[in-house]
Amino acid sequence: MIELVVNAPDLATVVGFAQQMGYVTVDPATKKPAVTAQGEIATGGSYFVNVVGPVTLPDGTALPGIWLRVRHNGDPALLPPVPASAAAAGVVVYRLVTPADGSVPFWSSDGATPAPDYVGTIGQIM
Amino acid sequence: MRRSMEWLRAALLVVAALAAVPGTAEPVPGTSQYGTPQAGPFTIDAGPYFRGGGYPATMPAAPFRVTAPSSALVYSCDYTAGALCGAETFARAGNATMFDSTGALTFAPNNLFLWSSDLTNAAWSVKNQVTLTSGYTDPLGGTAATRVQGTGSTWYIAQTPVAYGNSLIGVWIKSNTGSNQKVRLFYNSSTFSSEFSVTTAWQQIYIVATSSSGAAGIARDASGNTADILVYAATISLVTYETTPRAVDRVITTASAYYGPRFDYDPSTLVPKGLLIEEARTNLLLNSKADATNLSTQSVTVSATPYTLSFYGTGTVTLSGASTAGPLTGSGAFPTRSTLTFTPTAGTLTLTVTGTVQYANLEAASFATSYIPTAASSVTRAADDPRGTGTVLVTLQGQQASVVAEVSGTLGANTSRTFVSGVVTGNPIFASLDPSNRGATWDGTSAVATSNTASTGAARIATSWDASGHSIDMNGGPVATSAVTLTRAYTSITLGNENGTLYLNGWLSKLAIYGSRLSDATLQAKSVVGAPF
Repeated sequence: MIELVVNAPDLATVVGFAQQMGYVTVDPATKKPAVTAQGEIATGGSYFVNVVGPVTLPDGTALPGIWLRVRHNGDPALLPPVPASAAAAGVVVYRLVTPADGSVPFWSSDGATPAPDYVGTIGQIM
Repeated sequence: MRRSMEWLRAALLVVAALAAVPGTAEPVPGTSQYGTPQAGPFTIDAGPYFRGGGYPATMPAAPFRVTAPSSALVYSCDYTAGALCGAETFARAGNATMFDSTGALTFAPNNLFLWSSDLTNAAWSVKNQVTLTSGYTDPLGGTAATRVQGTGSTWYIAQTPVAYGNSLIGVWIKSNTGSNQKVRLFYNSSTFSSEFSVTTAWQQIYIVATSSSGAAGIARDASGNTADILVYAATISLVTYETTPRAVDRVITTASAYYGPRFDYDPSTLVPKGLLIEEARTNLLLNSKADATNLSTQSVTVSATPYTLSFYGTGTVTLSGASTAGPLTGSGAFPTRSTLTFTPTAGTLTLTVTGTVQYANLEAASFATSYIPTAASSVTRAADDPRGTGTVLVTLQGQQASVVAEVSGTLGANTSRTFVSGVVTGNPIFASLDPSNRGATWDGTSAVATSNTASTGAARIATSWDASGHSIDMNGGPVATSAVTLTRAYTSITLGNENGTLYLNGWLSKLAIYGSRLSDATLQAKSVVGAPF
């Protein structure tokens, strides 16, 4: 089980990111791309892409950009790699880091620096 | 009967001859693919791989198969019995809530531990001299148990599941030394249970974890003694009121957590309603808790689209700011649910709560779905994704087939609600309710609908097709027909949705599949709710 919380400058960048991750399908009739909300993972389990959109925190603070959360409930090796071009496009990808010493997990975009607490609450999946 | 046997013998001879050609052998009735042998007469056709637009003028290319007579019922399932029937798969990428057979609101079957029996997997973290060995005899006579040798004075083995709260943590355990030992379970990384005596017989030990996060697992006893034990089938399952392990959560996991199907019940009458299939939804309210805590007054940012507020209880929610619709006053204590659908202006909506307001949802949609618990943030429930496989898929890939699907109810009227659909270009729908509440098919281009209607109550739709077209009926009304065939090379069959859209948002209660096109009269008879298949 892996979750990603993704922040991008705008919706087009989010869709582009999702497309490179394989989470976009093109409707054969309308030819329009759409983020695939969910699907099966080849070796078992499923994924779910929650396109959150803009986020306003409970205290009224509007966060910049567009947000998306991915749950990959299956073999971690089958999580599509984050596109190398993502960072240059302004996409920030947060992952949950579980310390080896058993201490409390935290979200981070670089594997070491804890992200603000609100990151883990964005697009939370039941 | 003699004529039937002659047909069968002739058919089998043809199949046997074809089987001699490499790559063309197909199973015959009575094998695992076809299940119980059917009565004759049998016919031979091109099977599921024939992609022509109708019957061939000449003998089609192999592979061939033997198909059952036209009236044969190939598969049926009564989902109100509380289980899938063998030709379905189910997936949901997260948890969900349901009413169980006691009428209590609880979580769907779930097990959040990964590799729940293989504790040697890297998903489990170990500390302080723990040696793990797989392949030991488990309680079921297999070899799926793991030997855990904790030799350090503070040994433990644990895992940090995603987002668990009020949970039951359990594991099957047995001493591997011939004498009793002691261990503890723990959660929240450092909240330990009292000691369990581990005997030489398999037993399930468990604890209730409250408001939990962080690592959970098995640890040394309070005195820091070493241990040599066998462990099997660990579970950590979100629950609401339960204090003992649920049988439905006992699913061995590997790389993915288990989120099971919801066989839902009417919380008032306790009547089973079938398999609940819903689209993804988000509850925008904060701290709408599964422990029945009262909702607190709060504000939510909304847009100018329809929203539905729902809750259980006799209290009142008064809207202000972006909408002054309502107020919504609860019409009864749990399990009575009250709902209000409204369209605000874009802005900040304030919901002022008085009295008892439990299990509240605010969803950006025109009708409410099942309760979604939240805490400090909004929470999204992933969509249900049941699919027909095996016999269901193979039969519906044939040149002719029939589908009978019954729902015990749907959550929203005047929307498209899919009962059964096929995955292929255009994603044809075999049975659905359209926005006018008519029974309807969709061939990928156009729809055919019945003249009678059914709103949100029980409905049964029967559809049959062959190369010359298809027919549909609902609830015993007039049959509607079309010259367009639904014969396609389906790659998958989706239940309760059209390949990820047009969700049933309701309860699929019964399903039957036939290997041929039924006559209109038969179709009409079988489209009556409760009629025999």
